[in-house]
Amino acid sequence: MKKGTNYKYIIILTCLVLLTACEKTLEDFEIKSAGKKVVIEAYITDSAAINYVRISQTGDFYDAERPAAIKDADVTVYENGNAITFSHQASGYYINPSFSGSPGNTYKLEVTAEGKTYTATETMPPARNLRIDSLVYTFEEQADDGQSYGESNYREDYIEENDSLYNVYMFAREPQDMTNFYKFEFFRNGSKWQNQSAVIVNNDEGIGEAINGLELPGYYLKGDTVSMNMYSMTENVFSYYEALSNVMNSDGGMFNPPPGNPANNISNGALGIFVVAAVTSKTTIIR
Amino acid sequence: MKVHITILSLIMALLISGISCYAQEKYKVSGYVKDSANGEDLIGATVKIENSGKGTATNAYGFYSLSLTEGTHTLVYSYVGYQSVVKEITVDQDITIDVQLNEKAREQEEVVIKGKREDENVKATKMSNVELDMKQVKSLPPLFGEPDIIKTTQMLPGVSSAGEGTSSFFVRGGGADENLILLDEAPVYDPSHLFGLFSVFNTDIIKSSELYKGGIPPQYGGRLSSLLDIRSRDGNKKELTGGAGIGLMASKAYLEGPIKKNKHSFLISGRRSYADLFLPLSPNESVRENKVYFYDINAKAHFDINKNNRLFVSGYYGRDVFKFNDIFKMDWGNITGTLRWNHIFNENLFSNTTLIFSNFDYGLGLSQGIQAFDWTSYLREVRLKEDMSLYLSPRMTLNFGFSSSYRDFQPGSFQPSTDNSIFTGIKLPNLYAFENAVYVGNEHDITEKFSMEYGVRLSSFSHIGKATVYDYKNIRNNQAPERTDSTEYDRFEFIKTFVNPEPRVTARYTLNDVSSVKGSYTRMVQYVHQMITGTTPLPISVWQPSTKHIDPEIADQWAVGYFRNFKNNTYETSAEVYYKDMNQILDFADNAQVFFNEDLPTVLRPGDSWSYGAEFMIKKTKGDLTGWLSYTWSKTERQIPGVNQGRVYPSNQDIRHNASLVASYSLNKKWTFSGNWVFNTGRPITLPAGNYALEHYNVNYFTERNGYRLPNFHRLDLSAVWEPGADKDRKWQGEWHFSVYNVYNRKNPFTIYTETVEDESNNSPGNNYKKVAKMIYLFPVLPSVSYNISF
Repeated sequence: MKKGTNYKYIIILTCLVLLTACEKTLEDFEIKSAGKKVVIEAYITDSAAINYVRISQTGDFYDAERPAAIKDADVTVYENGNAITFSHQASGYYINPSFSGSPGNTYKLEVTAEGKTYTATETMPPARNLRIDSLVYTFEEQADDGQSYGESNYREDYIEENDSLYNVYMFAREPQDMTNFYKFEFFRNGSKWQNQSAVIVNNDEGIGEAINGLELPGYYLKGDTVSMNMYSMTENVFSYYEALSNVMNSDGGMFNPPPGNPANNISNGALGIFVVAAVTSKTTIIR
Repeated sequence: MKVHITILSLIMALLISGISCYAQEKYKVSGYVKDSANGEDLIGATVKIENSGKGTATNAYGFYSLSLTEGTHTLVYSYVGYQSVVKEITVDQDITIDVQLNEKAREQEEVVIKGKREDENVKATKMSNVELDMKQVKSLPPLFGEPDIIKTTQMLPGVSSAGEGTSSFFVRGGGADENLILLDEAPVYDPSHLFGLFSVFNTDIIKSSELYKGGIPPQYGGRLSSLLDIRSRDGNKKELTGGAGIGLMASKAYLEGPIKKNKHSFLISGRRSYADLFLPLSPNESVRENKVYFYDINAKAHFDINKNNRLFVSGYYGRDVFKFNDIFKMDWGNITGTLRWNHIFNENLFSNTTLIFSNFDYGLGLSQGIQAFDWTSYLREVRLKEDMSLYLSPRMTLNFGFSSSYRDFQPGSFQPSTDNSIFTGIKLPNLYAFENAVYVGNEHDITEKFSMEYGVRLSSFSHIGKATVYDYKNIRNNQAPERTDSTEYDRFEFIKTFVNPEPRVTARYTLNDVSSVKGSYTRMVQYVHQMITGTTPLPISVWQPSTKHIDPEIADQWAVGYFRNFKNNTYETSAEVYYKDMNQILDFADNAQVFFNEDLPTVLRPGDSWSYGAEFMIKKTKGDLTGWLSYTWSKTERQIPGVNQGRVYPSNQDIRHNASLVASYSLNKKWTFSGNWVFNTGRPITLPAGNYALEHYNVNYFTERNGYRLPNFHRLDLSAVWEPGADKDRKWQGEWHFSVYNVYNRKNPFTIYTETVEDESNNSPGNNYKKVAKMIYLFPVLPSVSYNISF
């Protein structure tokens, strides 16, 4: 397993212990301007709900608006050579409602946008991967100072108002006879756990078969629906997300590896990634 | 390459002709020069034959040897800060003369920076080197009250800090792993305590610290950019003495004395930090349970067995420990050991045999839960080294020897630490390497005005078994490395061997009594590389030997300089320019993963780097006011296939302007005031030129490596040393150190990173994509006080 350690936090923690480190926002730090680039985010999975191509453009660093969507692109997905057209839905998302992928098939993405054609090819890994047995929740006593909850995706008042929070744990079996690359997503009542610095990907190197009680991020309330998606990806795609994790957590290259646009599987210089993955989902309701 | 071969053949010709045609004087005078107060060897004390212009200097063990014609001669033994001794001798056979010099008393003499010889700046052949005065190092304003030779070294011309509060430094555009740091000749692989806030070198026991930025003598090799040669004291041979110090962050004590008076001595010292002692005062429970400390121990024994044999044993053991909430821990440390035997074969031939051991290891661990793990890594080295000096004539000293080392690298072992851990464990295979070198060099005074030191080091490095070596379809594909072949090698089987001749030449031409010009050419080869993906190394940045897929790094450096002293050697000035050409320098692919990566060669990107610059220094070495002013202009760039789209970009070490002002003022016997001001251009940094949306992430869009710079760095520190009993004639003396770090509270940038502003409801961007650049700065104005006592 490649362990991504976040040195920025180690050094900040060290300095906090020494009672000194500080940070400040640089209000007028000058960012160079760059030309626009096409960004392609494409997911082809064996789950009918997760098949889309999203096309957008890069934006200015200080621009608070969501970077502009490209709505007039031509998007075709070839499944083992057979063309399937994806058409624009809204906000740069392209879908084909009747389409879903299958493990073992090879997919080629072809996008023509802003006068250029971009392609990418991946084969869907077999679904023979991590088997999620169950999601188990336990009641957590609220600590007096709220400290033990650490960074959560809930508002502070959410924690303050609720003294009965639950932790959720995953029980699973990891097949030991093959190499797997995983990406995880977590949801509370259908809304995705969206932490900017948490890109949750893992390969199975050094991971044993029994995964008995891996804690999910976040805290949950009685009545919450907790669900997760697990993507079984190719090594190329996994490496992309691993690099993305470095970019999202970059400390400016003081200790972290120098950040750069993650190498991807799309031709012609587009940013983004073409993900072809088998998906496993699991849901539990806290009662 | 052509220049390199030409220089090499020139050196060989010089060596052969130099040795074959020396005029042999008949008799030899040799011996040791020592400090009369404690019996410590004096390194670099001069022995001059009066009215002849000839002479020599003692070596690193205080030994000298001079050839003389039959008859009567007057020898003058001198060492800066000491009273000279004049000996009139009649020579009709080889003789041994050991001399003890008295330190000049303060009453009769102004404060003097102890160097080697008064006019060394101008008259020595070597250039691009600086020796630190330990007394001055101790008086300078320290961070958290602990004086530090590395922090002082970072203020020398041509040297820049790898980041505030770190013990890493860059020399002439070289990376932090390109400095060979030796403690009693044992390599120290990580010189940092507390992530570099302190260095591992305890100033109580250090006798000398000399930095070579170029013109590195052929007995040293293995790193591209510099040699920092730190030697510990031997211990007082005359009487038992000691001291102790209490500071805000650490306390320390040392004891030294004779084992047998005037013959054998010992020295032992220890330090322990106690930053964590204050943590229980924290209102926050999780902080109270943290532990952060380091300790180190230095021990040395010195045995004068007889006239011709001396033995030294020295060792260092140090460790840093971090524990957070009893769950996460991290620790690291060095162990070094040196066993040294000085043997005088005869008046002409001095031998130093050294057996060296060095170990660096670290551990990281999580002790609870199903993700519990223990991550460990180590590097061990055993080295045997033989250095011989043959004193051919007063004009010529031939140095030759060999060095052999065996290294064992364990790049990483990751094991489950609880029964229910999800990990099965990974252990990267150990790497083994065998490094050998032979060298010969000649210190040659060709004429009265012209002298040279020339030589060559022939180094070889072998990656040896046991190992499995993979070949790759595309060695630069780190996204999905594709192995095409693997070869098994048995234990000690040679896998890949590199051989490199490394010529070294330094020349000095004396223009007149107070000025000279010097020039040098140095080739250095580096076979072990630290995987520092950022700018500054961390204790967990592992070392990687050259292997089949990782070529050694090679640097060629040319330097010329003008040296001039003023006012009877009170002021030393120097101006040097250098050009350094570095080949097969290792950089990393964007977002490289270096930990637990069995396909590590695929993330490396070798290429070219070059650095040039000018360094100026004015140093005042005598008087109540001493110190230096230095300024460096330099530029360091890289061009590496696979990095920055193959375009030229500034190195992490590219610091354009770098200036330091260091001063100590001795008001009277009781009070000494010191201060330093440092300024440097901010280091290059990689920041985005835009952003884009991917899933819920607000991702930075990059257009170039190191395309930005941190704001300029500058800082003033002040200190005062008060010795209330300095005028009393008593057995013990106490000393108060008061200091203020960062006097005008400059918020100096440590790094800049970017962040998406969190919106009200959660920490996801939601509809708000606003990004900001944030700067981390470390130390505000920090006063500190420490008290030292010595007897």
